[in-house]
Amino acid sequence: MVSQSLQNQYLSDPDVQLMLKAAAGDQSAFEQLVTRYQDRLVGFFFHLVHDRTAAEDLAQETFLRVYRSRERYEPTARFSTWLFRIAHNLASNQKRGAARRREIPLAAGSDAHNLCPEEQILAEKSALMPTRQIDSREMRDIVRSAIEELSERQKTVVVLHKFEEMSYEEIGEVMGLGVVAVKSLLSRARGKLKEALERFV
Amino acid sequence: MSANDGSERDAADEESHDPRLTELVAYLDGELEPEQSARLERQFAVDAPLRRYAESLDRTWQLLDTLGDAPASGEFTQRTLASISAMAIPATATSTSPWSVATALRTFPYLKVILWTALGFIACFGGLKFARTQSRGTDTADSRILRELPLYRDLETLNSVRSAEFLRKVAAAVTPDPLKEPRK
Repeated sequence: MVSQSLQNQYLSDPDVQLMLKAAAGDQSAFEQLVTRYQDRLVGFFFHLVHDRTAAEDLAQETFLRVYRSRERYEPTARFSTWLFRIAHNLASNQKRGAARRREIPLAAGSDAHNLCPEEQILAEKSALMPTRQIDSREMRDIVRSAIEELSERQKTVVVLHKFEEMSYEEIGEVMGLGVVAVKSLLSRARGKLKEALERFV
Repeated sequence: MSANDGSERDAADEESHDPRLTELVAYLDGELEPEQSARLERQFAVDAPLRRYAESLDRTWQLLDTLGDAPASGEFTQRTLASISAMAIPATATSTSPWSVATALRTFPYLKVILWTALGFIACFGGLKFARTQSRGTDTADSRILRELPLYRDLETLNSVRSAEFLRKVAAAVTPDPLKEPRK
């Protein structure tokens, strides 16, 4: 009875309905899902990898995986939860693959926003001079560096909570963790961010 | 991702073992029960360092807003949908292929009879055509032998002749225009 009511709850999610239509062969329904979620997915990956091209490739791969598995789709969660679970698995696999190949780690991107040596020095100087007025670009780089210091799981929790506005429970569903573990990861991450950033506030 | 997947640093350092910090963060995130929130707020009223710590946690969290959004580029939708279409075409092709053979036969029961009849006609027609070609080939060979029969008859004599030039001379001596009737 409980599971049936949960099932009904998911069926009321309009994106679940679109996915069910896509599973039945409705191409336009799938296109709507891509349009609805592309910015969120690209944003999610971008905050993890700091590389726009890599973020878009990962987002595209996520949609391709969703499309490939559409016929097996069952509405056992909100569509966004299901989608971000796939995205999270993809990011984790990517990181593991990169580690095996001894390539650039997932978190070390190569876009224009990365800190070049001069900017690194500037950021370090900024850290020494907390009262100096720093511009938004500098601030962004400092915040990004602070996030880089987090572990992969902490980073994922932070991005899902801060930018995707997911509750602890949803994050747990996406990452396959219990609420207590999510709470613990997030509080440790926020403690570390406070240590790294409090002199700039 | 399981807890074992992270690096050593992750495993040792990624989870908080400070219940007060966990509670403060949950409070700031609105994830505490109302009673727990009320209790914590009463503590803030009397514990200034705790309140300042919570405020600092909140302000540093707000700094993450500077990262802003990172929307997909203009070509992303088209590129993604094109990849999906490319993936969908082979799937469609393989799914229609069994329909054209098995499903069509199930859908139209008379189709089998029609197909077999047509195949029979094609086989008969092909057989007749083949037989006629064979017999025509034999006729052509026989008529050529008949036409060249005088040549075969005189083959022994002709073989004894030294050259074709000599034969032409003989022919010219016998008939006035050898080119018109070379075999006579």
